[in-house]
Amino acid sequence: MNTLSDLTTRIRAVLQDDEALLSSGKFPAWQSAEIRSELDQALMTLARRHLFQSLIWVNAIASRSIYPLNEWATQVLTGTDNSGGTGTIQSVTDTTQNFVTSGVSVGDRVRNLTDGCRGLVTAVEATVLTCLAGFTGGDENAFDSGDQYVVEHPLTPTTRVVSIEAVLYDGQDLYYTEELALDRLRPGWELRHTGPIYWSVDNAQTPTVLRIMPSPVLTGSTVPVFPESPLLQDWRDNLVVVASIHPQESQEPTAALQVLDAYEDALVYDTIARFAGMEGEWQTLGLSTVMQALAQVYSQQLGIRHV
Amino acid sequence: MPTVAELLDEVALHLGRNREYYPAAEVCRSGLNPALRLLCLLDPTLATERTVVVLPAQSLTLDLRTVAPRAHQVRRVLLGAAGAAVVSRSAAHFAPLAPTTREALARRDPAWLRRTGIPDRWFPLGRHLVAAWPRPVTDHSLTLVCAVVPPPVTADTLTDLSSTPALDSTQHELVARVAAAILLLKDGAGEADRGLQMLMTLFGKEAFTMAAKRLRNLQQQGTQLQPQLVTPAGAA
Repeated sequence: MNTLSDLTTRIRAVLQDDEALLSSGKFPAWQSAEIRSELDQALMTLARRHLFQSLIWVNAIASRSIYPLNEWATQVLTGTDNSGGTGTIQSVTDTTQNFVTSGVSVGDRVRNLTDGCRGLVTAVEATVLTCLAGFTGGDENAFDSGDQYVVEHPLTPTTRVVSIEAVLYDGQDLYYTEELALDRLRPGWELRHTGPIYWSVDNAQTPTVLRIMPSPVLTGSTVPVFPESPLLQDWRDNLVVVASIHPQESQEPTAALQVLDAYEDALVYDTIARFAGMEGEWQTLGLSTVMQALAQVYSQQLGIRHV
Repeated sequence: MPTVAELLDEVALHLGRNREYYPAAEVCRSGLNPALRLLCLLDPTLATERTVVVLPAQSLTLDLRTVAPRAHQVRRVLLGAAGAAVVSRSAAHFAPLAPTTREALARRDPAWLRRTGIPDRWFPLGRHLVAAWPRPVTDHSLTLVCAVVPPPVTADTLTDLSSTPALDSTQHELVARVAAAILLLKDGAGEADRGLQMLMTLFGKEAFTMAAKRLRNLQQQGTQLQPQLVTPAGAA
């Protein structure tokens, strides 16, 4: 499996060969980061065509209907800082908690509800959470004793969901519906507590915000658990989401390309076509045209209608 | 059997007078390997591979990126190990799994994911995942028969030119012509046109007609613009 770096090298080799680009002196501006950014767009195009799917286990919370899959939305615990200090810029202290046994893990987010700032947890001790990169987005970007906080865990820590295909609760497929249809079928459905039957998305603008209707009531958990193998846990504690995902969140140059080898050429030629197309000169538009045609030939053979 | 070096010579013949502009590593990376992959995509029977994998107990899916990264189409899934050398049963079973879809399973049994037993069906989840259903209660061996793209030829480092390319030698003439055509595509308008003509001859006109038309239009526009571009400043 190739790395992003290997692909970038291949793309640069074609672009560097292009006489018009060399003579225009524009090539130095086309750095690897920009190439990777275009590569990301090419991957996203494939992802939107449902090529990359995944089963995602999300912890179901009692009485909770909305699950924004790409956000930091699973609440682990809440509390109040009692460090006795002011202006603490890298840690949260709460001697009434045991963060280790409460399920807080490195990578979780701490939000200061009083100040409005937030930071990523880099170390977990029993009564202290360390956020080495500090806090951002608030008034003081610091914790004072008495500040209220919430610790959140990302719902889907390793992937970016593009669209939702199906949802299962308690091991069973839920029916897809829209809220208006449900109003006609079961007026007042928001108040019913019969457990999830339907799923929907919040609206077309946010196709990754999942709505479960009615909200789960059967689950025994209020604190999320993150089992290594969710299939072995109580089915009532798990929503299983069949989702189309973007396969390559990491943009590190040394990261392995997270697609099958057969997709490499379609991605390379599509990325070159995007670059060359941006230049707008007749020679580079020519390169863009032939590369787009080549990308389409590869895509069609892979069963993708159009890249 | 022809070697990579001989294949490179063949590509050079098709490149004609441009051959000196193409180092061997570049021909392999941007010509031969994409050509080999394209031919295998066009005809999935050209290169197939059997991969024996273990589906752990309670698991549903296998990630092709891990177990068969060169696969592009799963053709068959067998319960049991049926690799090239050894054929054996898995927990006393050996049978092909029937292909299905997740939607079909869900229609028949909404609680399909909860079912456990000996897998008798398989279905794809996107292009990366293959699922076997029902989920096994013990580890099982599965054999995936997949259409694959061949491993890349290894002349990038110029150390292994004597190796034999994976695709059968009867295809090498075609591989060389496709490789030359792909390499020519990026070499400016005239060469790109030649590359397109070669690809049209090989794969039919449909795929490249629009590109050829657009390229010709761009060339005409460029020729019209060219005199203005080279007019010295202050000449008027």
